[in-house]
Order: sequence, then structure tokens, then C-alpha cells
Amino acid sequence: LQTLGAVIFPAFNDTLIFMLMIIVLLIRPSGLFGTPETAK
Amino acid sequence: VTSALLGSRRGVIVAAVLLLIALALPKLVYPVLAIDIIAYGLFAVAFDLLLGFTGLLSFGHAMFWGGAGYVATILIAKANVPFPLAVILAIAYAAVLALVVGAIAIRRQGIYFAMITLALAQLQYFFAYQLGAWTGGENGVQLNGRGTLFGLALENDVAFYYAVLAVAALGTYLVVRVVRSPFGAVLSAMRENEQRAIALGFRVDRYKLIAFVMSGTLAGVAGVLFAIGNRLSGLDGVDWHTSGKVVMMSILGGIGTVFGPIAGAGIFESLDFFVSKTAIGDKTNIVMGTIFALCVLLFRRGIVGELLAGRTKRAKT
Repeated sequence: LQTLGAVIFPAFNDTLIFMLMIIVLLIRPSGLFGTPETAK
Repeated sequence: VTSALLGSRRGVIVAAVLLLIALALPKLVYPVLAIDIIAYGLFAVAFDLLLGFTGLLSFGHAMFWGGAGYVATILIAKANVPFPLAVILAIAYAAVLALVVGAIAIRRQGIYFAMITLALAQLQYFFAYQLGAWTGGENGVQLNGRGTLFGLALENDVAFYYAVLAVAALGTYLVVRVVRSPFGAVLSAMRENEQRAIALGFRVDRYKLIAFVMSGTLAGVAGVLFAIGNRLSGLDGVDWHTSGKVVMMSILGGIGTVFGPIAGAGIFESLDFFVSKTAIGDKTNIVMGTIFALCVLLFRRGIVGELLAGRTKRAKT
């Protein structure tokens, strides 16, 4: 993501990872491959 | 702990002692350091409204503190907006930002809530860094002067300090009133047992959002005071270190005690300043980290929290 960001949005490259982090925390807070707490 | 402190004679004594120290502070330390202590004190009180009374750990509160500081200084220095209007707009920015961030972050709890606030704060940090034409990038935005408020010239550091103190006292009083109101009781109920609060019919998300906006707005007020006091706003203000600093101040003083975070901010800023003037000044972070770790180990409720806990224990025996 950072490599792509450096090519497409070089000025705001550093923000992309945080945007992804927010989206993941909102949609799948346990992480992309984590198990939801209720299923444990 | 909170109701006991706020309603007790000891609570009044703690408040009175803090007020006396605050009134004499510009005579005891460098006036700009005194301004910093009071501004951070208000910031910590605002943060404690969220952590201590609502049970929400925000790790991005610097976005309101530094963001409002940026808006105020940019409007004054670059857009020539009159001083009072710039201050009002900066506080409004913090309130709107808190509303947006709160609406996103309260969808999650615990560590996830903290991480969302951190991520959103870092977004603002990188935007501030990249929008150098407005924010000055690494140099920040400098003010030539502090302007006037209601005809009172604020250029003198001591005069400005007392203006900051009045605003901080008002902000702290508002927090005390909020905490002791029925609204504050609901916040405490949510902190203790959110499921039970939901079962009782309270719309907890709405309460959380209101508390978040109040806390963010008050943090913005403190940030504006700090920026104008130092005639500077910079990346330090929106950095995650500042968010961590206010967490440390609140824990050091005692979360959920209102006056504890003020004491924590005073101790933290004074230590930071005086350690930086010694031979180990280049290792300030190590010293501060060690002191913080020791305090957490020895005084788990914070300094004011431990004082109150001692009183409660004696009352029981």
C-alpha cells in the first residue's frame, strides 16, 4: 500500500495506512485474519 | 471516588490549594511555563472527562488540542481574522472535529476505540505536515502578538496567564457541574457497566458522543490558549506524543478525580522543564518515563486518587 501510495499520492502517502487501519477497525476490528471475540 | 472527592471537605481543600498555587504560579516559575501548565491542566481535565468519567480511552486527543491551535494561529497570522473571532472559530473547529471523530470512533470499544482515535489523529498530523503553505510544515505558524480581548492587551505574559487561568477555572467548573449532574451519573453508569445502562434504557452511544464532543471542545479551548500563549502552533501539538502526554498527566494525577489531572499536568510540566535544565536534559524522556512508571507502580490511583483512597480507608475503619 505504501509503495502504491508513493506512486499515486506521493504527498499523502503516509495517510493511506491510517485510512486502511480505520476501515479495518470499523469493519473487522479483530483484523483481516483474526477471529471475532464472540466466536472464540 | 469522584463523588466523594467533589462532595467532601477534602475536595474543597484540594481545589483551594490548587487555586492558591495557580494564583502564585507566575511568581514561582517562568510565566510562559505557568501558561503551559494551566493550559495542559485544562487539557487533562477535558481528557479525564472522557477517560475517568466515561471510561473511553482516546489516544488521539492531540488532534483537538493541536488542531484548534493551528486554526487559531492560521486565522490570526495568515488570514488576518480578528483575535476573538479566530478563537471562536478555532473552538468551533475542535467541536465539529470531535463530533465527526466521535461519530466514527464510538462504534468500537476499548483498544479498538483507542486505535481509531489514534489513526484519525495521525491523519490530521500528516495533513498538517503536507499542507505546509498554511501550517508552515515543520516550522509551524508563528504569531507576532497575542492581540486584545475585551480591550485588555494580552501581550504581557503575566496578564495573559491570569486570563488563561480564568478560562481554565471556568472549564474545570463546567466539568465539575457536568460530572455531578444526572448526565454525569449516566456517564458513570456506562463506565461501570455499559450493558446494564443499555438495559435501563439509556442510549449509550448518544451519551458517549456528547461526552466526546464536550471533551474535544474543551481540549480545543486548552489548545488555543497554549498556542496563543506560546505565539506558536506546530506539528508537536498534533503529534501522538502529545496524546500520550495527556494520558500520562491524567494517570499521574488520578483519573476520575477532576483535580487530579490538573495536579498531574503541573507536576509533569514542571518536572519536564526542570529536568531539561539539568545535566541529563538530553535524556528527559527517559527520566519522565521512569518517574511515570514508578508512580503507576506505587500510586496506582494517581496522586490525588491515593490521597482520597487513604481518607476513605480511614473513614471505614
